[in-house]
This record gives sequence, C-alpha cells and structure tokens, in this order.
Amino acid sequence: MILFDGVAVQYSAGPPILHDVTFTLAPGSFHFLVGRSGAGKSSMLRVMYLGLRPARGTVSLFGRDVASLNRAEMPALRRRIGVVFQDFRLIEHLSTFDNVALPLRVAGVREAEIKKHVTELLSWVGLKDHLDALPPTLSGGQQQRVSIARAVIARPSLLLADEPTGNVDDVIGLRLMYLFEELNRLGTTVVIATHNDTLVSRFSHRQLRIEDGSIRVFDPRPMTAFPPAATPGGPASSPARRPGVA
Amino acid sequence: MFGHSDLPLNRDASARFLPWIIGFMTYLCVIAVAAALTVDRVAERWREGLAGNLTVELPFPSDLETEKRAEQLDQAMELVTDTPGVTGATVLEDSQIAALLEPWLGPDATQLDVPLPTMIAVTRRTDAALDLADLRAKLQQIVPGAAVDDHGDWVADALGFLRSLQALAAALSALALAAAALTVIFVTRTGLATHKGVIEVVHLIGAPDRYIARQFQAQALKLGVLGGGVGLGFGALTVLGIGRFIAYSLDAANPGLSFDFRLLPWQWVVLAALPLIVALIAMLTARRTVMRSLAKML
Repeated sequence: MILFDGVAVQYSAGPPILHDVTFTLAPGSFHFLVGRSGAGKSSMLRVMYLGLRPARGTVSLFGRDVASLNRAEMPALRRRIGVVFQDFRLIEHLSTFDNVALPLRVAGVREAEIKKHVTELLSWVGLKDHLDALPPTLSGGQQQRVSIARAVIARPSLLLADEPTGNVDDVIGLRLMYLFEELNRLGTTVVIATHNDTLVSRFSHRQLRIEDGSIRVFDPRPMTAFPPAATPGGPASSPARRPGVA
Repeated sequence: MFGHSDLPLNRDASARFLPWIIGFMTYLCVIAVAAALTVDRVAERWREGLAGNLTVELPFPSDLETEKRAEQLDQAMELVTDTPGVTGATVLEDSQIAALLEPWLGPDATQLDVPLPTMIAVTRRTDAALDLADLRAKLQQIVPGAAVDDHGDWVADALGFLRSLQALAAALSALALAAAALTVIFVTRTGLATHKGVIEVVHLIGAPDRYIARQFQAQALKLGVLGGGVGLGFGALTVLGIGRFIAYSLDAANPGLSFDFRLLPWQWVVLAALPLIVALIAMLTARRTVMRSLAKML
C-alpha cells in the first residue's frame, strides 16, 4: 500500500525535516503517526497525499512509484486517498453539504446519490441540522467533523488524518475513532497523526514514531509469531501475513 | 455549463469589470466589421455599375461648323454602335453634362467659357471582350483627340481605397479581440492566484486540471456572452444610426441619387455571431490559461 525507502523531506534550502525514512504499510492496516510538535508528522502526511515531493528516496503508493507518475495520473491516485487536514481546509463559500459532496462531484457521481450519501454521513457525524451552514458559522469541532466527513465520503483506500480529534470533545473524539476503525474494518488503510497520548494508548494500533527526523515503528500489542506491519528495515523484511501486517 | 462551481469566481472583482471590457471590445468589432461589410457592398455596387459602361469623349474644335460636327458625331455613333459587344449608346445632353460637372464647376457649367467635349454614354455586355485601343484609334480618325474611358483606372483606385478601409477594419477587429483575450488571461491568472488555496484542496481531493479549468471557462463564457450581447446591442444601434446619418447627409448633398447603406440580412447574421465568437475566444483563452498555469503546480 505505502512504501517509503530512504526518504528525506526538506523545505527549500533548510535542513531535512525527515531523513532516511524507510517503512512499509500493508493494505488494511491502522497506524498512529506520533511525535512531538514540529517533528514532521504533517510533512510525512503531505508526502503520502502527494502534496509534497520528497527531496530524496522512493515513495510508492498503491504499487506505483510516485516519482514516475505523470500529472495526468495523479488525480486518480489522489481520489483513492482521503485526507483530514489539521486546519480542516474547508471551502468557506460552500455549504457543509457541498464541502462533503466535493469528492463525489469530482469523481462524477450522480447528484441523487450524492444527496443520499452526504445527508446520511452528515447525520452520522451529528451535523444533520447544518447541511446548509457555511464553515465560518460552524464551531471548530463541527468544522473538524465536516472535514472528516469529506475525507471518508468516497470510501478511500487510504485515509490520512492530521490531528482529527484535536478540536472535539472526548465523546465526539471517540465516535470519530470508531468511524475510522469501522472504515479500517471495511478495508481502508488508516494513518492518524496525533500527539494525543491518551488516544494512542486507548487504541492499541501500531505506531510510527518520528524521533530526530527518522521513523521508528512501535507495536503496543503482544508479540506474535509474525513480524510487525510497518517495518523500518524496508519492504524486503515485510511479508504480508495478517491484516495490517506487511 | 453554468451549473455548480466550487470556486467563487462570480464574486471576484473581475467578474464585474470583465463583461464591460468584453462588451466594449465587441462593440468595436461590430462597428469595424459593419464598416467592412458596408464597404464591401459599396465596392460591389461600384464594380457592377461601372463594369458595363464606357464613356466616349469627342473634343470637337470650337470653330467646327455645326453640319460638320453633326456629321462626325453620326459617324462616331455608327462606329460605336456597330462595335461587337456594345448594346447601346446615348449622346449626353448639355443638361446631363452640366449635372455631372456641377459638383466641380457649379450650376452654370455649360454657360462658362470652357470648351466641353461631347460625350457618349455607352453600354456594353460585360461578358464580351471589347478592343478599346482599336475603338479609340478608329474614333480618333473621325474626331482627333477622341478618348474612350472604361473607368478601369478609377475603379481600380477606388476599389484599392475600399480594400484598404477593409484591411483597417480587420486590423481593428483583430486588435479588439486580442485585447479581450489578454484581459481574459489577466483575469484568469488573478482568479487562479486568488483561489489558490481552494484549487489546491480540490486538486488534493483528486480533481484533474480540466475539472478546475471547466469552472474558469464556464465563467469566461458566461461573462463573454453577457458582455458580447451588450456590445452587440450598442454596436447595432450605432451602425443603424451612422448608416442613416450618412445616407441622409449624402441624399441632402446629392438629391436624386440613392445611397443605400443598409446591411443585408446575412450581414446582420455575421454581426450577431460576433459576441458568440468573442465569448468562445474568452472561454478557450481561460481554459488554456488555467491548463498552462496548473501544469506548473504539483
């Protein structure tokens, strides 16, 4: 699903934020991406959602080396990725409904189907009464839920979420985590960047820990006879054995 | 085409001024093209009117006896009417010559002490070749100094002038269209910069460049049709007004002559198509600008 091999990320002529990052994520796996603020979690996600080219190394998504992708091939790949941005990045002049409908419209889904699915999902995240509301009129938590709904509405193969529970209360936060887990059970690979240790410890998913610009994989679950899903050693040591294990 | 848009392009300041600029450019195009079409019609009428005519000038000496003069005129008329391809010949009366000379010599032209030639208006078949040099030589044997004018030089000069006017009108139209296209490029680039954040999100969601370009081109087409329609309306009123004014002025200066500057129905259709052409150019320009600009993004 995702392969990073010797990847380095840096902005302009500054020092590398990430260097020699190597790991693989298997299809259907669930990972937390953790690290202190400024460690490079968002940059890592940007590389994953094709918003940033790595300075060095190989990134492979869905079996395609992203460096070999031409411009015309990117949209189809991006449509398989749902992204929850840390700053939501909702389109302010579009209603809640239209923001969530955007991925379906881009994919050319019929309006009748869009209406059905979007209304259903917005009801599920508790925004049924805000279909026509513009993002600036919503609270931070509500905007975050709209952002999450937009990311998952098209049932992406890969869901990348940057601090998705940062602006919601515990109840809503848990509910959103259950939504992510449900999507994961349906086959979506999930990567959630967070610095919420409580959340991370509550759900025993594997962790990609960014420390000193590099990645370390941590699996909080009891050891099994199988190797962990994300392997710092790279693809060669990552045979697929179980969901989430490469 | 003008349906749902993810980009708030209709709220941009450019959405307010672009129709006026396109309208003004369309207005200039309508005037220029109408002028070219009118000139074309005038040129065709001149060419048709003069192609079947000749003028024979017989400069009789003032001291020539009347009988001798009448005899030479009869011989000249006989020669002209017997020439193959000639369908008729009429000796112009003094009053007709006076009317022709009036613009230059005033109403009493025939009363002046100026020797005026006798003139024969000849009509000919346009499909038959006529040896003018031979006719001229034979006439000069009857009346020394006789001249035959098929108006070819004058027509060539006049048509050359009219063609220059048409070229000027075409150049003006091309400049107006180029200015409209440049404005659309500027407005589109401004729109791309203004909505960069939204475009980036839409891109990351998986929209191809053409999805974003479609929204810009729909906006450009809409504003183009709107501005073009306004330009056509004002342009048509101006064309009608100028046509009537010129016809009225020429009629007043030349009573008895008919000046028709009205455009033909098919020429109005050409003018009506101009705003659509301008709108189409605006649309294609916007699309090309967006596609080229987005190609430089990640």
